[in-house]
Amino acid sequence: MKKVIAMLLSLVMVLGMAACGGTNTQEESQTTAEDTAEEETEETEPAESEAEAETETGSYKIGFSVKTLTNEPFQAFIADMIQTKVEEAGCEFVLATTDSAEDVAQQVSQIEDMLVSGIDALIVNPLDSNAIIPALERCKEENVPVIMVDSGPAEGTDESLYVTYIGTDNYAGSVTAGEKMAEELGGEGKVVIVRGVSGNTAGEARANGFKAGLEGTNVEVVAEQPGNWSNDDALQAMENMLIANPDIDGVYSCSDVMLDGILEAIDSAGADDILIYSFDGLTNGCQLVLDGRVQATMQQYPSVMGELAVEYLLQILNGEKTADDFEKFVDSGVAYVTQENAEEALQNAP
Amino acid sequence: MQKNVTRRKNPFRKVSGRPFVRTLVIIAVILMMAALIPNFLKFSNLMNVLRQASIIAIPAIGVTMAMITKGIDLSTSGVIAFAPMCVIVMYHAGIPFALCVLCGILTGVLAGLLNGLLIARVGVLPFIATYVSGTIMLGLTMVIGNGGSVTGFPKGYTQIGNGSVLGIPWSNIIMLLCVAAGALFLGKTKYGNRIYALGNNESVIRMEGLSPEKLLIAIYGIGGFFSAVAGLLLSSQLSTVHPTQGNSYQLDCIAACILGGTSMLGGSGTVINSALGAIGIAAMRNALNLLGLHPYVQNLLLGTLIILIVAVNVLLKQREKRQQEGFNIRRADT
Repeated sequence: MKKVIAMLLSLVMVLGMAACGGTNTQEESQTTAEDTAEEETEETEPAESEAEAETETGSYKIGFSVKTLTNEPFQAFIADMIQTKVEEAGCEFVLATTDSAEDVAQQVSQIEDMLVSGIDALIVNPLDSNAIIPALERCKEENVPVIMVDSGPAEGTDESLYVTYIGTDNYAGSVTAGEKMAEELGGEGKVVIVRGVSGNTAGEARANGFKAGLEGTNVEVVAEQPGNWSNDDALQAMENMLIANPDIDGVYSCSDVMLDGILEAIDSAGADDILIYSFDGLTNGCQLVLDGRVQATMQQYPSVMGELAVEYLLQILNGEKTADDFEKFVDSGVAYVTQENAEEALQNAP
Repeated sequence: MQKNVTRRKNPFRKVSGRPFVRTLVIIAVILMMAALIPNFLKFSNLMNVLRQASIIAIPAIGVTMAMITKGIDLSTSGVIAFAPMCVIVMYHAGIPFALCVLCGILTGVLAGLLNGLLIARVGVLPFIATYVSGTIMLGLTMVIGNGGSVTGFPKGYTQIGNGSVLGIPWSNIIMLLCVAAGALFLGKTKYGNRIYALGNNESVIRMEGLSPEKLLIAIYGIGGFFSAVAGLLLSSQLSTVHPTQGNSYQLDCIAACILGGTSMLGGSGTVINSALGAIGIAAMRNALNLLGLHPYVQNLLLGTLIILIVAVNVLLKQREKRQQEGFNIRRADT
């Protein structure tokens, strides 16, 4: 019996620590907890009363739903910028990340739970643009404006489900990359593509854009495999492609996060003279370009994404603008980084 | 259980019994969560929790039965992806939707029967057989879906996963029906009761004229059926079929069974307890999300909570065993 009581007490302790030790603005969450706990018994809508109380003080709760931040400096950059801007405005920031880049169902349930906890606005980077639609519909039911960043809506998505999509034009940026690589190869050669996670719109757009950039030249894509945004998977994919096609001239990586794996595969195969182009412009990518191991990367501006998203949402929440005042797609821009401007790009790299 | 044994009356008998303490712990945890977390007891939130739990609870029915026979089913994630992928690919090919759904569920059953054959007839270890078949299912899903997610279900279908009747989501009703069916089968039918003997005392089964092999194959077939149902339900909730949609549910399923008291050593466990375990896991995740905790901390807490609950269960079981042995020794003395 003593052991059971000890277990129970430790359970209470753990949960107690959890409730009081949240990383978000503690005072605010504790006061809202007390308020809504009282109102629960009256069966009024706690979300509404919270929102009423908050419009008076002008402080909102903004959530950001994204995939895992582990080994994802790009996503972490966006998240940090959003957190900074939200807290600067005196609002509360809630972060939800999934366990892995493939957990589409978890992202949906996290958004549902965030809605229950009373967020006023949502920024989301969807893992799968189709699977996110039910979550967006719930947000619309609760009158929570949504802005998508980095990965956009699937084709045919109802436009009333989101305010705008702020992101890099992955397609256009990759077309540039394809054209530049074709130029450097003199219009002839064989290349391979290391893709992202299947179904992710950003990844698909980059692969398709690169292929479009090669059109009209004699550069041929002999293989493409998913690297799933991870070095481990990219290593395997690159190894396999090198074994099947030992004499390729170039490789396009759909993201800098896969470069370490790709380089390792190239080194252990002893292959050289392979042009490597990439996308994202992260710190590691820019450094590799500076060192000459990678020839070019297309740098994105994730901080711009986060900043604009928060700015627009606050404008809507404060009533200054409505959802219709925004274009459905806002291009956050991309820069072509080569060894010449790599130093400068490194300064701005996530 | 101990009705015919004369023993010293322990005045604390009822209060220290395992089921009572377990109920006490559950009530304590629920009260704590309700007090510390705003909106937890809100009706729509509870319905959400059950909806999220349904995808864990339904395959758990099959996994429970497998674990009772000292086996395991690691093909749940494969079937959760493959069954709906079959449905949507066939639907896009022009086949009437009802037929597609039927075929989807059939693929799940066939996958399960394949598992059963490998385990019962060929003698492959359940771990290997189901792990491999799960991987094959995942591969097939990628192949017929061209490696990506596929969407385009008819409008009514997504209503099943997301809609509700009288405020209760359809998902919850389906989960209830499946769990009830599974519980009735396992607990009340002749075949169900004999499942507990499989892996422990096969001769008992043979004496009654049943074939242990056929029963084992049937168990995995049932598991495949429920995994397919869960897969179709998940795709209805997401309105899309994503090839890796089942990955996280596989381990959650097993954790739910263990949380519900099913032993990996076989011989014990019930469908209802596993379903409660599934609801427990979904509720814990929901509570952690509502608290707005940093995601890294969430996994830490979730693991700690599960270990605590399992440890309490194991300790109580040991106490019960010692008490039982104590009674047996006393009986031998008289």
